Amino acid sequence: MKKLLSMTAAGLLAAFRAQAAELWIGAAEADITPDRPVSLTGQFHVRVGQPSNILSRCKAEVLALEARENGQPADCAILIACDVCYLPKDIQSRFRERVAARLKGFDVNKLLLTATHTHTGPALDQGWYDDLGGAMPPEEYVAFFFGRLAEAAAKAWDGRKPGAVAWGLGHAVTSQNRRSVYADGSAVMYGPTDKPEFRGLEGGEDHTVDFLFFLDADRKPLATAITVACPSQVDEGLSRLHADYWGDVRDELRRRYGEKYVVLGFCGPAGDLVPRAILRKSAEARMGQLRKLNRRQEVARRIVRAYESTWEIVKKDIRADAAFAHRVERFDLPGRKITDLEYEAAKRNYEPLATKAVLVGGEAAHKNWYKGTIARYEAQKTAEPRHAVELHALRLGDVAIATNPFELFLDYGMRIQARSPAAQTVLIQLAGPVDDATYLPSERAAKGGGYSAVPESSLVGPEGGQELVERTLAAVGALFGK
Amino acid sequence: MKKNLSLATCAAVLAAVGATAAELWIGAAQADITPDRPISLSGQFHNRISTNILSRCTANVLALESRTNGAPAECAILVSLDVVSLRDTQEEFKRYIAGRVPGFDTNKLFLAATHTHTGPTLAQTNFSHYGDAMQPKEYVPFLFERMGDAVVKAWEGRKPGAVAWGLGHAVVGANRRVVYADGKAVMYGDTKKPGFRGLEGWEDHAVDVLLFYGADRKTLVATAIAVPCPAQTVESLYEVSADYWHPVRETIRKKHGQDVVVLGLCAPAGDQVPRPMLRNAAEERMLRLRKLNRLQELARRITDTFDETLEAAQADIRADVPFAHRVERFEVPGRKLTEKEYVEAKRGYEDYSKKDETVAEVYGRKNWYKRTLDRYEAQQKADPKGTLEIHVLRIGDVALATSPFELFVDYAMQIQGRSPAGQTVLVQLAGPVGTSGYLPSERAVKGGGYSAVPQSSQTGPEGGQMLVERTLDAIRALFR
Repeated sequence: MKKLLSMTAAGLLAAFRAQAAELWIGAAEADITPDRPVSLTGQFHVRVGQPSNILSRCKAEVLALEARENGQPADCAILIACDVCYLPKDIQSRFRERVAARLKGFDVNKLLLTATHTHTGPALDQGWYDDLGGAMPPEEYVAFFFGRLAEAAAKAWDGRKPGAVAWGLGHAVTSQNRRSVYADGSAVMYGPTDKPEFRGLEGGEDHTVDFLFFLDADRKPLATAITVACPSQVDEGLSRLHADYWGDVRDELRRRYGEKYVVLGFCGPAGDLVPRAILRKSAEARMGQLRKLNRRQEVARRIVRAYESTWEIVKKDIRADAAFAHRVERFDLPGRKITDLEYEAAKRNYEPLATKAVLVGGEAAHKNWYKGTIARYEAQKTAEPRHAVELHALRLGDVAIATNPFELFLDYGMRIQARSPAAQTVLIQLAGPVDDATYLPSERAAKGGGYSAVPESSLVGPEGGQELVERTLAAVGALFGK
Repeated sequence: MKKNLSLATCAAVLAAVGATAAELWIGAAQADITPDRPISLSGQFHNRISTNILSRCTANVLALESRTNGAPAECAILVSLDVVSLRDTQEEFKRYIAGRVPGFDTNKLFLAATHTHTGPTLAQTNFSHYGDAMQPKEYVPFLFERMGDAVVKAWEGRKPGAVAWGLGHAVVGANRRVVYADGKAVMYGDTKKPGFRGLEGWEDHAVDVLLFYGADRKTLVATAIAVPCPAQTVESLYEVSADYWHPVRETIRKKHGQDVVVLGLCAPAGDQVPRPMLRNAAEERMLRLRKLNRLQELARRITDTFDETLEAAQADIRADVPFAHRVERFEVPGRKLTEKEYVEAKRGYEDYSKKDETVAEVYGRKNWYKRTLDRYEAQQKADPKGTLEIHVLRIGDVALATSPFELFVDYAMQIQGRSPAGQTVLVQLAGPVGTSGYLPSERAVKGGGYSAVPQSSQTGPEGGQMLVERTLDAIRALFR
């Protein structure tokens, strides 16, 4: 196992075949909500979710796929969408080790964890926090998390049966670009838009929704994977455990398609997008009032509506024999170098926090945030920064699925979409291991600055971003014979 | 009238500012503005003479009057027109209609183009020759007669009614300006190039819906739908077409009654277009599965959001709402040409001058450059300025504000971000505009390309910012 998990500069681990094959499908769900107080990840300040005050249960949704040619296994994948903010560096590899023995005949390199980016999900590591407010230590939570995940993964894999697949593209306006740009060229995440200096939102928005539908041999719905270019963080400031809008989407789809329907919520590239209204706030709020829905429920309503509109059409094109292949690539990306000015700024911000006797609110996290930048500056004096990335590229019929571990700015998503040879390209961010500075800002964002684009927010910058684009396209191209 | 229309002073406010709740009288009518002869179609550099009618172009009229204690207090006539743009048409039409709408101040009328690229040509000077087709100078009287009758019908038919409004969403427009690694932008540029770095600006997928009911609050009399996307899906056809607004109108009428008047308004979308710029293959597959073409698909999305917005908004239908209408005319600085831009325009002009004017787009391109050269010559004597007319209405909690440009969404964002109204409806291509109607954002001017180069725009970012501020001032005055 260790051998398989070690990383070479470009470890190509999968066969490239993509002939039409019989598709075996299994699906399961794990409840990953503990019955003890747990630290919530998503803000600079510490929040503890109490088991007595859960808003919605956090889940992990598992999809197991195996292609068989002439009755023989040809390729496989297990995709797991988790209601967590992000997946810390070693979580995926540790889980693979933990679950390997239970997944007979499955190459655990083909198992992928993704985060919905809920900001009210359980913490998987200590992160930036100096204390966790009395919550269960993340290591204890992770053991619980792994146990639940392993059961569901095994259930999905063991329960796989011949099935069929369909796919389609829908639309739902769920997100807005959250980076306000001002007349002096600076950008501020969630910056006020009612200032005279406001000049617009920095980038675009992506309101497409990719749907994959998985059916059993009788063409009954078994699972769906829905990719929305919007993090699941409507209620990001709450101190309650909560799956955010994916909880509402799952509830509604299960009401319609059965309680066992497995709904994987994936986040498309959306580093600069957010589900809150940035413009037209009062009109959006009024429509919510008229519909008697809060913002989270409204976002879910739009996704479910797109689901129905898409499913209604693509159910005419269900396929049992679809090309299937899964590549796993590991490579290094150039890290973002810290300039002297950025170093000085980080130092200036760090020093008062470092000398403060008692840190309150988000100060401890901010202290560690700046400390990380200072450490990177020191490290880059001796070696060019590099960062390991694991990329999964799958072909499923005419669809390409490609992952990345970042909060990837939309500009990169556009570049891949435009140049992809696939008929439909599904991009999934926050997939697989990443350090806690997860943003990958675009060139224009790096120029504008602000949270999500400053060095503290991103270990990899535009140079690495473009390389990620090229590597992704090469992997997708290989699956489509390009 | 002449006096009112004369060049405005710095801030000519022609309307009362009052916006107290009032009884709203509503009238609506539609005119078929499609002649039964071949006509020139506007929207491309080359002249296209229609060979067929794919769907009929129409003018859709909404007349509004507020009455306080039974006495008229304020009024507006909005006309949505299936044409690409309006040059002097609005002012000519006001003169034509004056005296035919008793009690109505014709300053309070505005025309708005849907920007269909397959509608009738209005300016005789657009093209060099029209063959046997109906000449624009013949077509305009036909248009005025049809549209004039509809305006009179709507105004005279006004009755007490009620209004509702809501915000919907439909993914219709895509940003069409492709940016490359060298910072250059190209409209409809190739996104498959390795140098592609993204689409330049934001995309606006909001749809504003205004609903006008009869006194029973059940009968839908008219609706105004503002979509930030020009109706130019079939922009290159040689057939008359109202583009996606036709099936939108048909679908709404089928459901809500054949007499419902549907005003299609184009919200700021100078950099947006109804064709997909990304995910083309997936979009096309969905069309095939739905058995719809792109035009029909966009209509489906608009009518879907119309239906669900109406469903929610009809819980809040109001008969007494504040109503006010300001008409402002002011000057904005024109876009000055640099020496380099002049040289480029001169080169373009000289190239096209050598070509046969009767061939395809030669005449249009040559004049495009020629006008730019003329502007450069003129700016040697005086700084360029343009006169704008904007209409700003308050209807309940809604502000509706017009601009005559193909306005880049960056400006709309600024107005939306700072507007004090509960809902702000912005309408572009409303009222008179010059021959180069784009108003590009700062980032677009830096990137260049068609729609952002001086040939495409007589007004630049400086004027755009002034438009933003003046629009916001007018809205604020109505929402004090």
